[in-house]
Amino acid sequence: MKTTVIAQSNNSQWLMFGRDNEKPDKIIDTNQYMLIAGERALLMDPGGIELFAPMLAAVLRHASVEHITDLFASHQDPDIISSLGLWDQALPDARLHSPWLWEGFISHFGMNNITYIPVPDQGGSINLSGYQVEMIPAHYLHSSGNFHIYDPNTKVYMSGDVGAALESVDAPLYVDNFEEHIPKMKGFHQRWMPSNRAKNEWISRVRKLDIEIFAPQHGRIFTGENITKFLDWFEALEVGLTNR
Amino acid sequence: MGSLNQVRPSVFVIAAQIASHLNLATKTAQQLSLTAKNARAITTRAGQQALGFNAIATFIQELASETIRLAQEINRKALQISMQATELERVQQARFKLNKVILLAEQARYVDSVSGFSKRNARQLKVLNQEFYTLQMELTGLIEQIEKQVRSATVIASMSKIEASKSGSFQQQLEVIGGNIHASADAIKNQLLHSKRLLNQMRGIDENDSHCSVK
Repeated sequence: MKTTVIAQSNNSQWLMFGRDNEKPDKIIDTNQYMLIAGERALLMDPGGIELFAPMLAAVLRHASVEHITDLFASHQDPDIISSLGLWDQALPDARLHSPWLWEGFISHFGMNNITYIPVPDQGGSINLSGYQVEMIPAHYLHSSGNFHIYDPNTKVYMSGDVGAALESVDAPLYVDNFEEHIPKMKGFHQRWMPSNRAKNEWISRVRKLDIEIFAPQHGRIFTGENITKFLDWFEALEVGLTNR
Repeated sequence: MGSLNQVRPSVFVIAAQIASHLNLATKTAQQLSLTAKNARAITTRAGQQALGFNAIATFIQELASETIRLAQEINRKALQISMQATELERVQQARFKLNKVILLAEQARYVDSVSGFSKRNARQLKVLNQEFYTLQMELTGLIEQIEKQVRSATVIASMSKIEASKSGSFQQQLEVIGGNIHASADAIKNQLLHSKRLLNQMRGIDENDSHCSVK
Protein backbone atom coordinates (compact mmCIF):
# COMPACT_ATOMS: atom_id res chain seq x y z
CA MET A 1 0.00 0.00 0.00
CA LYS A 2 1.37 3.39 -0.98
CA THR A 3 1.60 6.19 1.55
CA THR A 4 1.76 9.85 0.55
CA VAL A 5 2.04 12.93 2.71
CA ILE A 6 -0.61 15.23 1.23
CA ALA A 7 -0.32 18.17 3.64
CA GLN A 8 1.56 19.28 6.69
CA SER A 9 1.87 22.15 9.10
CA ASN A 10 4.30 22.75 11.95
CA ASN A 11 2.29 20.46 14.25
CA SER A 12 0.35 18.17 11.93
CA GLN A 13 0.65 15.86 8.99
CA TRP A 14 -1.95 14.42 6.62
CA LEU A 15 -1.20 11.03 5.09
CA MET A 16 -3.04 9.21 2.36
CA PHE A 17 -2.91 5.42 2.09
CA GLY A 18 -4.04 3.69 -1.08
CA ARG A 19 -3.20 2.51 -4.56
CA ASP A 20 -2.69 -0.95 -3.11
CA ASN A 21 -1.28 -3.31 -5.76
CA GLU A 22 -1.68 -6.27 -3.43
CA LYS A 23 -5.40 -5.91 -2.84
CA PRO A 24 -7.74 -8.65 -4.12
CA ASP A 25 -9.00 -7.88 -7.67
CA LYS A 26 -12.68 -7.67 -6.82
CA ILE A 27 -12.21 -5.00 -4.17
CA ILE A 28 -12.39 -1.39 -5.33
CA ASP A 29 -9.40 0.77 -4.54
CA THR A 30 -9.94 3.13 -1.62
CA ASN A 31 -8.06 6.07 -0.13
CA GLN A 32 -7.59 6.00 3.61
CA TYR A 33 -6.40 9.08 5.47
CA MET A 34 -4.60 9.69 8.72
CA LEU A 35 -4.03 13.00 10.47
CA ILE A 36 -1.20 13.06 12.97
CA ALA A 37 -1.40 16.00 15.33
CA GLY A 38 1.23 16.01 18.06
CA GLU A 39 1.01 12.75 19.97
CA ARG A 40 -2.38 11.79 18.60
CA ALA A 41 -3.58 10.38 15.33
CA LEU A 42 -6.99 10.27 13.68
CA LEU A 43 -7.68 7.53 11.12
CA MET A 44 -10.36 8.46 8.61
CA ASP A 45 -12.45 5.88 6.73
CA PRO A 46 -9.94 3.16 7.66
CA GLY A 47 -11.30 0.77 5.04
CA GLY A 48 -12.61 -2.72 4.57
CA ILE A 49 -11.66 -5.89 6.39
CA GLU A 50 -9.46 -7.08 3.50
CA LEU A 51 -7.32 -3.96 3.78
CA PHE A 52 -6.73 -4.11 7.51
CA ALA A 53 -3.30 -5.80 7.46
CA PRO A 54 -1.65 -3.67 4.74
CA MET A 55 -3.30 -0.58 6.21
CA LEU A 56 -2.06 -1.15 9.78
CA ALA A 57 1.38 -2.11 8.45
CA ALA A 58 1.50 1.18 6.52
CA VAL A 59 0.25 3.18 9.53
CA LEU A 60 2.97 1.70 11.79
CA ARG A 61 5.62 3.39 9.69
CA HIS A 62 4.29 6.75 10.91
CA ALA A 63 2.46 6.20 14.20
CA SER A 64 2.29 3.64 16.98
CA VAL A 65 -1.00 2.00 17.92
CA GLU A 66 -0.99 4.07 21.12
CA HIS A 67 -0.98 7.25 19.00
CA ILE A 68 -4.17 6.28 17.19
CA THR A 69 -6.75 7.56 19.62
CA ASP A 70 -9.56 8.39 17.20
CA LEU A 71 -11.26 6.83 14.19
CA PHE A 72 -13.73 8.49 11.90
CA ALA A 73 -16.22 6.75 9.61
CA SER A 74 -17.96 9.12 7.21
CA HIS A 75 -20.79 6.62 6.80
CA GLN A 76 -21.60 2.94 7.15
CA ASP A 77 -20.37 1.35 3.93
CA PRO A 78 -18.21 -1.80 4.13
CA ASP A 79 -15.35 -0.23 2.17
CA ILE A 80 -15.30 2.52 4.80
CA ILE A 81 -15.44 0.65 8.09
CA SER A 82 -15.95 -3.12 7.81
CA SER A 83 -12.46 -3.49 9.35
CA LEU A 84 -13.88 -2.12 12.62
CA GLY A 85 -13.95 -5.55 14.34
CA LEU A 86 -10.18 -5.77 13.87
CA TRP A 87 -9.40 -2.17 14.83
CA ASP A 88 -11.55 -2.85 17.88
CA GLN A 89 -9.04 -5.49 18.97
CA ALA A 90 -6.00 -3.47 17.97
CA LEU A 91 -7.10 -0.17 19.55
CA PRO A 92 -9.38 -1.04 22.47
CA ASP A 93 -9.24 2.47 23.95
CA ALA A 94 -9.96 4.38 20.75
CA ARG A 95 -13.07 6.43 19.95
CA LEU A 96 -15.04 6.12 16.74
CA HIS A 97 -16.74 9.30 15.49
CA SER A 98 -19.53 8.49 13.10
CA PRO A 99 -23.09 9.63 12.29
CA TRP A 100 -25.54 8.96 15.13
CA LEU A 101 -27.82 7.42 12.53
CA TRP A 102 -25.49 4.48 11.96
CA GLU A 103 -24.53 3.55 15.51
CA GLY A 104 -26.72 0.44 15.68
CA PHE A 105 -25.65 -0.62 12.19
CA ILE A 106 -21.90 -0.01 12.31
CA SER A 107 -21.77 -1.95 15.58
CA HIS A 108 -22.60 -5.04 13.50
CA PHE A 109 -19.01 -4.96 12.23
CA GLY A 110 -17.93 -5.86 15.79
CA MET A 111 -17.32 -3.25 18.45
CA ASN A 112 -16.71 -4.54 21.96
CA ASN A 113 -14.05 -2.09 23.09
CA ILE A 114 -13.98 1.07 20.99
CA THR A 115 -16.28 3.88 22.18
CA TYR A 116 -18.80 5.10 19.60
CA ILE A 117 -19.15 8.88 19.58
CA PRO A 118 -22.41 9.59 17.74
CA VAL A 119 -22.13 12.74 15.63
CA PRO A 120 -25.34 14.80 15.60
CA ASP A 121 -26.87 15.81 12.24
CA GLN A 122 -25.49 19.35 12.44
CA GLY A 123 -21.90 18.01 12.75
CA GLY A 124 -19.27 18.83 15.33
CA SER A 125 -15.55 18.73 15.89
CA ILE A 126 -12.84 16.30 16.91
CA ASN A 127 -10.31 17.65 19.35
CA LEU A 128 -6.88 16.03 19.22
CA SER A 129 -5.32 17.56 22.33
CA GLY A 130 -6.01 21.09 21.15
CA TYR A 131 -5.78 20.42 17.40
CA GLN A 132 -9.32 20.66 16.11
CA VAL A 133 -10.93 19.39 12.91
CA GLU A 134 -14.56 19.89 11.87
CA MET A 135 -17.10 17.27 10.86
CA ILE A 136 -19.10 18.84 8.04
CA PRO A 137 -22.60 17.48 7.29
CA ALA A 138 -22.86 15.79 3.90
CA HIS A 139 -26.09 13.89 4.36
CA TYR A 140 -27.40 12.02 1.31
CA LEU A 141 -23.96 12.32 -0.32
CA HIS A 142 -24.44 9.48 -0.68
CA SER A 143 -25.48 8.03 2.65
CA SER A 144 -28.47 9.33 4.61
CA GLY A 145 -26.14 9.99 7.55
CA ASN A 146 -22.82 11.27 6.19
CA PHE A 147 -20.02 13.61 7.28
CA HIS A 148 -16.77 14.90 5.84
CA ILE A 149 -13.71 16.20 7.69
CA TYR A 150 -12.36 19.72 7.30
CA ASP A 151 -9.05 20.72 8.79
CA PRO A 152 -8.85 24.55 8.89
CA ASN A 153 -5.13 24.39 9.77
CA THR A 154 -3.93 22.59 6.65
CA LYS A 155 -7.07 23.40 4.59
CA VAL A 156 -7.59 19.75 3.74
CA TYR A 157 -11.18 18.64 3.09
CA MET A 158 -11.72 14.87 3.27
CA SER A 159 -14.77 14.49 1.05
CA GLY A 160 -15.75 10.81 1.36
CA ASP A 161 -17.53 9.66 -1.80
CA VAL A 162 -17.94 13.19 -3.18
CA GLY A 163 -15.41 13.70 -5.95
CA ALA A 164 -14.79 9.96 -6.14
CA ALA A 165 -13.69 8.25 -9.32
CA LEU A 166 -13.33 4.52 -9.77
CA GLU A 167 -9.92 4.01 -11.26
CA SER A 168 -7.12 1.47 -11.43
CA VAL A 169 -4.52 1.27 -8.67
CA ASP A 170 -1.87 2.85 -10.88
CA ALA A 171 -3.92 6.04 -11.50
CA PRO A 172 -2.12 9.30 -10.65
CA LEU A 173 -2.72 10.72 -7.21
CA TYR A 174 -3.84 14.19 -8.29
CA VAL A 175 -6.31 15.46 -10.89
CA ASP A 176 -4.26 17.23 -13.53
CA ASN A 177 -6.77 17.79 -16.32
CA PHE A 178 -10.25 18.34 -14.88
CA GLU A 179 -12.14 17.98 -18.18
CA GLU A 180 -10.50 14.64 -18.89
CA HIS A 181 -11.35 13.50 -15.36
CA ILE A 182 -15.10 14.18 -15.72
CA PRO A 183 -16.01 10.89 -17.47
CA LYS A 184 -14.42 8.97 -14.60
CA MET A 185 -16.73 10.66 -12.07
CA LYS A 186 -19.97 11.38 -13.90
CA GLY A 187 -21.75 8.01 -13.79
CA PHE A 188 -20.70 7.43 -10.21
CA HIS A 189 -22.11 10.76 -8.97
CA GLN A 190 -25.32 10.50 -10.98
CA ARG A 191 -26.05 7.03 -9.67
CA TRP A 192 -24.78 7.21 -6.09
CA MET A 193 -25.85 10.71 -5.07
CA PRO A 194 -29.61 10.54 -4.61
CA SER A 195 -30.66 14.14 -3.98
CA ASN A 196 -30.12 17.35 -5.98
CA ARG A 197 -31.35 19.41 -3.04
CA ALA A 198 -28.93 17.79 -0.57
CA LYS A 199 -26.12 18.17 -3.10
CA ASN A 200 -26.77 21.90 -3.61
CA GLU A 201 -27.07 22.58 0.13
CA TRP A 202 -23.75 20.86 0.67
CA ILE A 203 -22.11 22.86 -2.16
CA SER A 204 -23.20 26.18 -0.68
CA ARG A 205 -21.85 25.06 2.71
CA VAL A 206 -18.50 23.95 1.30
CA ARG A 207 -18.01 27.05 -0.89
CA LYS A 208 -17.70 29.04 2.36
CA LEU A 209 -14.67 27.00 3.45
CA ASP A 210 -11.10 27.77 2.53
CA ILE A 211 -10.00 24.52 0.90
CA GLU A 212 -6.65 23.77 -0.73
CA ILE A 213 -6.80 19.99 -0.89
CA PHE A 214 -10.04 18.15 -1.67
CA ALA A 215 -9.49 14.48 -0.90
CA PRO A 216 -12.10 11.85 -1.82
CA GLN A 217 -12.23 8.23 -0.70
CA HIS A 218 -11.76 6.84 -4.23
CA GLY A 219 -9.68 8.16 -7.10
CA ARG A 220 -7.68 11.36 -7.34
CA ILE A 221 -7.20 14.37 -5.10
CA PHE A 222 -8.28 17.85 -6.28
CA THR A 223 -6.12 20.88 -5.64
CA GLY A 224 -6.17 24.59 -6.48
CA GLU A 225 -8.62 25.69 -9.17
CA ASN A 226 -9.75 22.09 -9.79
CA ILE A 227 -11.64 22.29 -6.51
CA THR A 228 -13.81 25.17 -7.75
CA LYS A 229 -14.15 23.46 -11.12
CA PHE A 230 -15.37 20.35 -9.37
CA LEU A 231 -17.92 22.24 -7.25
CA ASP A 232 -19.23 24.09 -10.36
CA TRP A 233 -19.46 20.85 -12.32
CA PHE A 234 -21.18 19.04 -9.46
CA GLU A 235 -23.65 21.90 -8.99
CA ALA A 236 -24.71 21.66 -12.62
CA LEU A 237 -24.92 17.86 -12.58
CA GLU A 238 -28.33 16.28 -12.18
CA VAL A 239 -28.02 13.40 -9.73
CA GLY A 240 -30.27 10.58 -8.58
CA LEU A 241 -30.31 9.05 -12.05
CA THR A 242 -29.74 5.60 -13.43
CA ASN A 243 -28.23 5.26 -16.86
CA ARG A 244 -31.03 3.04 -18.15
CA MET B 1 -4.16 -21.02 9.85
CA GLY B 2 -4.53 -20.95 6.09
CA SER B 3 -7.45 -23.35 6.33
CA LEU B 4 -9.24 -21.16 8.86
CA ASN B 5 -11.82 -19.80 6.48
CA GLN B 6 -12.89 -23.25 5.36
CA VAL B 7 -12.65 -24.83 8.80
CA ARG B 8 -14.21 -22.61 11.42
CA PRO B 9 -17.46 -21.80 9.60
CA SER B 10 -18.17 -25.53 9.42
CA VAL B 11 -18.27 -25.47 13.21
CA PHE B 12 -21.10 -22.91 13.09
CA VAL B 13 -22.89 -25.08 10.57
CA ILE B 14 -22.38 -28.26 12.59
CA ALA B 15 -23.62 -26.63 15.79
CA ALA B 16 -26.72 -25.44 13.91
CA GLN B 17 -27.22 -28.94 12.46
CA ILE B 18 -27.01 -30.49 15.94
CA ALA B 19 -29.59 -27.99 17.18
CA SER B 20 -31.81 -28.88 14.22
CA HIS B 21 -31.60 -32.64 14.88
CA LEU B 22 -32.33 -32.07 18.54
CA ASN B 23 -35.27 -29.90 17.61
CA LEU B 24 -36.70 -32.86 15.70
CA ALA B 25 -36.02 -35.06 18.73
CA THR B 26 -37.94 -32.55 20.88
CA LYS B 27 -40.91 -32.77 18.54
CA THR B 28 -40.83 -36.57 18.68
CA ALA B 29 -40.63 -36.40 22.47
CA GLN B 30 -43.69 -34.14 22.45
CA GLN B 31 -45.53 -36.78 20.42
CA LEU B 32 -44.34 -39.38 22.92
CA SER B 33 -45.77 -37.29 25.70
CA LEU B 34 -49.13 -37.18 23.92
CA THR B 35 -49.01 -40.94 23.40
CA ALA B 36 -48.39 -41.38 27.11
CA LYS B 37 -51.38 -39.15 27.94
CA ASN B 38 -53.59 -41.23 25.61
CA ALA B 39 -52.31 -44.36 27.28
CA ARG B 40 -53.24 -42.99 30.69
CA ALA B 41 -56.75 -42.12 29.47
CA ILE B 42 -57.22 -45.66 28.16
CA THR B 43 -55.81 -47.31 31.29
CA THR B 44 -58.11 -45.19 33.48
CA ARG B 45 -61.06 -46.49 31.50
CA ALA B 46 -59.68 -50.03 31.58
CA GLY B 47 -59.29 -49.90 35.38
CA GLN B 48 -58.09 -53.20 36.89
CA GLN B 49 -57.65 -54.74 33.43
CA ALA B 50 -54.69 -52.44 32.62
CA LEU B 51 -53.09 -51.69 35.95
CA GLY B 52 -49.60 -52.69 34.71
CA PHE B 53 -49.89 -50.50 31.65
CA ASN B 54 -50.98 -47.54 33.78
CA ALA B 55 -47.62 -47.55 35.58
CA ILE B 56 -45.82 -47.75 32.23
CA ALA B 57 -47.80 -44.77 30.85
CA THR B 58 -46.91 -42.67 33.89
CA PHE B 59 -43.25 -43.55 33.47
CA ILE B 60 -43.31 -42.78 29.73
CA GLN B 61 -44.87 -39.40 30.38
CA GLU B 62 -42.12 -38.50 32.85
CA LEU B 63 -39.52 -39.80 30.44
CA ALA B 64 -40.94 -37.72 27.60
CA SER B 65 -40.89 -34.57 29.77
CA GLU B 66 -37.28 -35.21 30.75
CA THR B 67 -36.32 -35.86 27.11
CA ILE B 68 -37.92 -32.57 26.08
CA ARG B 69 -36.08 -30.72 28.84
CA LEU B 70 -32.74 -32.25 27.88
CA ALA B 71 -33.29 -31.62 24.17
CA GLN B 72 -34.06 -27.97 24.90
CA GLU B 73 -30.93 -27.69 27.02
CA ILE B 74 -28.89 -29.25 24.21
CA ASN B 75 -30.39 -26.74 21.79
CA ARG B 76 -29.27 -23.91 24.03
CA LYS B 77 -25.81 -25.45 24.34
CA ALA B 78 -25.54 -25.89 20.54
CA LEU B 79 -26.44 -22.23 20.12
CA GLN B 80 -23.77 -21.24 22.68
CA ILE B 81 -21.23 -23.33 20.74
CA SER B 82 -22.21 -21.62 17.53
CA MET B 83 -21.77 -18.18 19.16
CA GLN B 84 -18.46 -19.22 20.69
CA ALA B 85 -17.26 -20.43 17.30
CA THR B 86 -18.15 -17.02 15.86
CA GLU B 87 -16.14 -15.25 18.55
CA LEU B 88 -13.22 -17.62 18.01
CA GLU B 89 -13.35 -16.94 14.30
CA ARG B 90 -13.19 -13.19 14.99
CA VAL B 91 -10.20 -13.49 17.32
CA GLN B 92 -8.43 -16.00 15.05
CA GLN B 93 -8.97 -13.73 12.10
CA ALA B 94 -7.35 -10.92 14.07
CA ARG B 95 -4.40 -13.24 14.79
CA PHE B 96 -4.12 -14.08 11.11
CA LYS B 97 -4.20 -10.40 10.11
CA LEU B 98 -1.78 -9.47 12.89
CA ASN B 99 0.76 -12.01 11.62
CA LYS B 100 0.41 -10.40 8.21
CA VAL B 101 0.89 -6.92 9.69
CA ILE B 102 4.09 -8.03 11.44
CA LEU B 103 5.37 -9.48 8.16
CA LEU B 104 4.48 -6.39 6.12
CA ALA B 105 5.68 -3.88 8.71
CA GLU B 106 8.99 -5.59 9.46
CA GLN B 107 10.98 -2.40 8.99
CA ALA B 108 8.29 -0.04 10.32
CA ARG B 109 9.35 2.35 13.06
CA TYR B 110 6.40 1.53 15.32
CA VAL B 111 5.98 -2.20 14.62
CA ASP B 112 6.74 -3.07 18.25
CA SER B 113 3.70 -1.11 19.38
CA VAL B 114 1.46 -4.00 18.28
CA SER B 115 2.88 -6.25 21.02
CA GLY B 116 0.02 -5.32 23.39
CA PHE B 117 -2.51 -6.25 20.71
CA SER B 118 -0.63 -9.51 20.13
CA LYS B 119 -0.62 -10.46 23.83
CA ARG B 120 -4.30 -9.62 24.30
CA ASN B 121 -5.15 -11.63 21.23
CA ALA B 122 -3.15 -14.68 22.39
CA ARG B 123 -4.80 -14.52 25.82
CA GLN B 124 -8.26 -14.27 24.30
CA LEU B 125 -7.57 -17.20 21.97
CA LYS B 126 -6.49 -19.37 24.89
CA VAL B 127 -9.55 -18.54 26.98
CA LEU B 128 -11.96 -18.98 24.07
CA ASN B 129 -10.44 -22.34 23.11
CA GLN B 130 -10.77 -23.55 26.70
CA GLU B 131 -14.39 -22.40 26.87
CA PHE B 132 -15.09 -23.99 23.50
CA TYR B 133 -13.71 -27.32 24.73
CA THR B 134 -15.80 -27.13 27.93
CA LEU B 135 -18.96 -26.42 25.94
CA GLN B 136 -18.30 -29.41 23.71
CA MET B 137 -17.83 -31.64 26.75
CA GLU B 138 -21.08 -30.36 28.26
CA LEU B 139 -22.89 -31.02 25.00
CA THR B 140 -21.49 -34.57 24.88
CA GLY B 141 -22.66 -35.14 28.47
CA LEU B 142 -26.17 -33.95 27.69
CA ILE B 143 -26.43 -36.13 24.59
CA GLU B 144 -25.32 -39.14 26.65
CA GLN B 145 -27.98 -38.37 29.26
CA ILE B 146 -30.69 -38.21 26.64
CA GLU B 147 -29.42 -41.47 25.15
CA LYS B 148 -29.93 -43.19 28.50
CA GLN B 149 -33.52 -41.94 28.60
CA VAL B 150 -34.17 -43.31 25.15
CA ARG B 151 -32.67 -46.69 26.02
CA SER B 152 -35.16 -46.87 28.93
CA ALA B 153 -37.99 -45.97 26.56
CA THR B 154 -37.05 -48.87 24.28
CA VAL B 155 -37.10 -51.34 27.19
CA ILE B 156 -40.43 -49.95 28.37
CA ALA B 157 -41.86 -50.20 24.87
CA SER B 158 -41.09 -53.96 24.93
CA MET B 159 -42.65 -54.31 28.39
CA SER B 160 -45.71 -52.42 27.23
CA LYS B 161 -46.43 -55.14 24.67
CA ILE B 162 -46.50 -57.76 27.42
CA GLU B 163 -48.71 -55.56 29.62
CA ALA B 164 -51.01 -54.81 26.66
CA SER B 165 -51.54 -58.54 26.12
CA LYS B 166 -52.89 -58.76 29.70
CA SER B 167 -55.43 -55.98 29.33
CA GLY B 168 -58.38 -57.89 27.88
CA SER B 169 -60.65 -55.84 25.61
CA PHE B 170 -58.13 -52.93 25.69
CA GLN B 171 -55.32 -55.08 24.32
CA GLN B 172 -55.49 -53.80 20.73
CA GLN B 173 -55.51 -50.09 21.69
CA LEU B 174 -52.65 -50.50 24.11
CA GLU B 175 -50.64 -52.53 21.59
CA VAL B 176 -50.94 -49.58 19.18
CA ILE B 177 -49.70 -47.28 21.93
CA GLY B 178 -46.81 -49.63 22.70
CA GLY B 179 -45.91 -49.55 19.00
CA ASN B 180 -45.99 -45.74 19.01
CA ILE B 181 -43.67 -45.61 22.01
CA HIS B 182 -41.27 -47.91 20.20
CA ALA B 183 -41.40 -45.82 17.00
CA SER B 184 -40.84 -42.57 18.92
CA ALA B 185 -37.89 -44.02 20.83
CA ASP B 186 -36.37 -45.22 17.53
CA ALA B 187 -36.85 -41.81 15.92
CA ILE B 188 -35.18 -40.00 18.83
CA LYS B 189 -32.37 -42.57 18.80
CA ASN B 190 -31.75 -41.82 15.12
CA GLN B 191 -31.64 -38.07 15.72
CA LEU B 192 -29.20 -38.62 18.57
CA LEU B 193 -27.03 -40.80 16.38
CA HIS B 194 -26.83 -38.01 13.80
CA SER B 195 -26.05 -35.47 16.53
CA LYS B 196 -23.25 -37.64 17.90
CA ARG B 197 -21.72 -38.07 14.46
CA LEU B 198 -21.82 -34.30 13.98
CA LEU B 199 -20.29 -33.74 17.39
CA ASN B 200 -17.42 -36.09 16.52
CA GLN B 201 -16.98 -34.20 13.25
CA MET B 202 -16.84 -30.93 15.19
CA ARG B 203 -14.21 -32.34 17.55
CA GLY B 204 -12.14 -33.43 14.56
CA ILE B 205 -12.28 -29.92 13.14
CA ASP B 206 -11.40 -28.41 16.48
CA GLU B 207 -8.39 -30.71 16.84
CA ASN B 208 -7.22 -29.78 13.33
CA ASP B 209 -7.66 -26.11 14.17
CA SER B 210 -5.62 -26.36 17.33
CA HIS B 211 -2.76 -27.71 15.21
CA CYS B 212 -2.88 -24.66 12.93
CA SER B 213 0.19 -22.50 13.29
CA VAL B 214 -0.26 -19.41 15.41
CA LYS B 215 2.73 -17.14 15.37
